[in-house]
Amino acid sequence: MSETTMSKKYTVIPFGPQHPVLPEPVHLRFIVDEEKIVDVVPNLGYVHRGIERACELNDYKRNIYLCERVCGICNFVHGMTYCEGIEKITDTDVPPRAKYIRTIWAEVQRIQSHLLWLGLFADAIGFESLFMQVWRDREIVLALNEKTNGHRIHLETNLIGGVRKDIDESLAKTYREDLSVLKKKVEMLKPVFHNDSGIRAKCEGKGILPKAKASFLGAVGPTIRGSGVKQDMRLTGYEAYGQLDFEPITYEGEDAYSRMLVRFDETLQSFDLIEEALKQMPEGPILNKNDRFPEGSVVVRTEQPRGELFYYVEGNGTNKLQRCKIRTPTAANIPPLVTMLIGYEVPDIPTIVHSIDPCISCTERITYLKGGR
Amino acid sequence: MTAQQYELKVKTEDLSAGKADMFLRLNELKAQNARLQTITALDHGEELEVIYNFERGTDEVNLHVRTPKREPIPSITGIFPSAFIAENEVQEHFQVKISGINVDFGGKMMKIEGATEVTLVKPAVGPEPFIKRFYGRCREECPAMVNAPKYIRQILQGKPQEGYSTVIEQAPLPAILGRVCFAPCQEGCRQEKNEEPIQIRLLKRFAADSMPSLKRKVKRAKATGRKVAVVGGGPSGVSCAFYLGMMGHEVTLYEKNDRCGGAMLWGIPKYRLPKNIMEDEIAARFEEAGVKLKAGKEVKSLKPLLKDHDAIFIGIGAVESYKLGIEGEEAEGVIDSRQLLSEVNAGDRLLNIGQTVAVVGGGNSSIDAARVARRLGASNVTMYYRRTEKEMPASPLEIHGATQEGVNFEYLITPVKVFPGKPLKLVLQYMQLGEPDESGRRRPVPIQGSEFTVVVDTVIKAIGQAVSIPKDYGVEVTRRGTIVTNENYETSLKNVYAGGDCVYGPSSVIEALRDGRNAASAIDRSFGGKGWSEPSIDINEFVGRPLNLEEIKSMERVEVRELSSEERVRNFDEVELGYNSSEAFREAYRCWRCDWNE
Repeated sequence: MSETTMSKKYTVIPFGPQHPVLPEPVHLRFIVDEEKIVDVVPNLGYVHRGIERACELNDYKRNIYLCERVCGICNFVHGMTYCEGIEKITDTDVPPRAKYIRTIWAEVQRIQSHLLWLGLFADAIGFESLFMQVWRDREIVLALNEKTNGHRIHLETNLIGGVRKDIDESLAKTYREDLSVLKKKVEMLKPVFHNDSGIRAKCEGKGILPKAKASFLGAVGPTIRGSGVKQDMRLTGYEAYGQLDFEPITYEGEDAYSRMLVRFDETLQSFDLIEEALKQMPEGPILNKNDRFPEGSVVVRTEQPRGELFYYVEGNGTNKLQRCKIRTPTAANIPPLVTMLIGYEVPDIPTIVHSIDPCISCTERITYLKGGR
Repeated sequence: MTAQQYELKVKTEDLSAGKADMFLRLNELKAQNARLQTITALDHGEELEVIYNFERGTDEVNLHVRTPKREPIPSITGIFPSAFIAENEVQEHFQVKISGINVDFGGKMMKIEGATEVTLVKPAVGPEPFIKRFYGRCREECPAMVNAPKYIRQILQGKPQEGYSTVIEQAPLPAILGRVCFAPCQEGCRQEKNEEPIQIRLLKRFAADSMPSLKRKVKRAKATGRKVAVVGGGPSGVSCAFYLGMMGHEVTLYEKNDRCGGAMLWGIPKYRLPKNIMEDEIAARFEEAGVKLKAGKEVKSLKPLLKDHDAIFIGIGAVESYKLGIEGEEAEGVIDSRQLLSEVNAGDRLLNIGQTVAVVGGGNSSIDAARVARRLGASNVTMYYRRTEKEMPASPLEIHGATQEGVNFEYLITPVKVFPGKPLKLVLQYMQLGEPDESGRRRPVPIQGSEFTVVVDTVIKAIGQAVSIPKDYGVEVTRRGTIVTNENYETSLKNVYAGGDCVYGPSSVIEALRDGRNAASAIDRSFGGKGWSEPSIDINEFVGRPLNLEEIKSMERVEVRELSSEERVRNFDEVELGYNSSEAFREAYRCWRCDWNE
């Protein structure tokens, strides 16, 4: 009785903005009672770059490159989403072949991003050899990007009304060959991620995010699918996803382990999606030019590797946008992250923080959190 | 559901609201399980348009709220807690004020005025980790190392019955100790610095009083087939028999009187220890440990016992009284205190000791004798002690109690001679203090020619008890008559152990209980066992942090309710009434928990 009704002092452990486990600048203040986390105060704003404001000052066509720089890892999806927004308010019809090509590249980037994350996650839980192996395998995708687009990371092939480069028969062959090699390598890792006792011990039951809470706090992407909610923007059928047959991967575990399995299985699913898209891809043009200035507003939502990406684009009939609002999935996953950390111990922090796949630099168009605290 | 079926269903709905009805709309959306995506704002010069983007099912719902720029916008974190990031963003980009942003997920970070960022209103839930454990000063002071801090906490947690079992781990008779123990633990208590130690003895009594029946449900260890005889049913014998029984040995206890209890039976007045409680508790322990009692059977020689037992424990106590060594000591009307006390305490017979009584001696048992004499109807009871009050071995509390009951004290006086007759004539002599003797107290020296005579009905000798071991036992004894033992409580005979008053002269119940327990351990180890588990710090015990120490220090001791002094001298009812549960809680609350960390 008396033991639990006292107010007392707690320790505050600052995590970041510079921290070995998470190279990106986010500051989390952990309020701990001995080892146990009592509360977490997130603090963002260390890499604010003013991209949204810059979008209002630039020509709307040049914004594609700006948007692609919101995030390095999933840059193609950012550019694609922005183009989709402009295409919607300027009534531009995108040729079907361009839609398929965009879908393929978006999925290639999902593979690249998930492999990157699987490696970082293995590193965060102290499984270094796995980290090396995953990243070695990831080189295949990066090399493939270089072969086909000329860049390892930034594809920069989006244009309003289509894409800049075609995937012809010879390139399609390269994609099929290289990805089948990579798929075999990833499948080899399946027993490790699914059964390894060390990984299970480190992740199972850590960072529980109950299903109801996940929806209520607005979690997105693998974070919410790891809590058993079938929430996937690809189901809305943008680009060519409407013609592809797939079922979003969900796990019911609600913990860090489930979120990891969702990402792993999604990686394998992406290979199948690419294969299917390459098979179904129709012949035809890849670009439909339209020089009308954007007027009106639109909300575009796509599925980035980390979850739902949200663009609000408003044009006013000039070559400059009235407003371009970007909400990246990590921003949506920070409130769930804060709740899932509470009650765990300090050694669990890397596992849980990594389990939402934080991409802080894309989140950062905002500044200090001011409010109740 | 595949994407093809899904695709066409996505719709966009635009709602607009003012500041007045936006919460109505938001609550509707929450009821429809809408998920907040983000908050966008548009700058329209004087006005600001805030757009709340939601996903409802598969639909996109945008709530547009238009508001003048200078006016603050109410925060929606009360309905959608995850909005705090987006609201901060809008606030930063558009120079508007959003009022009442509440970054609160668990209800714990609600800031109160004047609080620092690390002061939380609500505490963490669940057990708190330990830092460092000590025995605690009270436990270190106790001869039997009874875990006083633990049972004080158990009483505080509302579990006094568990506290009763905690005491029994080290001393098997809590109900008796709670009444008669001289409570060295209270001298060790840190609250003693404030001159008001925690009444640990009374808390122990409260723990015992809270038991519906003194018999607990416990399991004995697996039977070992070893047989042990315990000679003497006093505290050391009862303790030894209990622990041996709990360790699985077959124990037979021999007691020469009809009733067990030994010095507790005859030496402690009924008003301090009601005999029915004592007998209940001893019987409960015997029942738990499966001890066979052979009462009324005096053991004159150990040889027959050694034949059919693997070990013997001697705990026969100190029952002989010292003699005054003066002329006329054998006269009728001169009785020793043991005789008086055992007649009164153990029996129901009331002695006729007349109106005027002289008590010779200065120990606790002399004071007991004097107080008993008051209860037997003597109107004029005087204690004669040959030194001063400072040197008196009796406890100040006892002296105080006796004074309250009308016992007179005369110091620096010693008896010289008794003239037989009815009434008796007692010749006394004044003393003065000389050089200190080997006990450190100043030796009394008679003042020649200072003799004077008083007329008394009864003289009570109360200058202490001596040990007398029957010669047939064959154990080695010291010059004072006590049994010689080594650190394992072994005597000079093989497989014969001894403890209690018969080893070091009259002492206390708690020391006798400790001897019994340690001897039982030694006997068990000689059989190849591990002995009774020694007291160690329970590292897993849940201990809360001390609360506000200043508040605890300023709390006053809870006085125990007692019978009034007029009532006391009329009968032999228990004087102390013990704590009730709220008093016990308040007293236990004063514990600093200094055993936990300092």
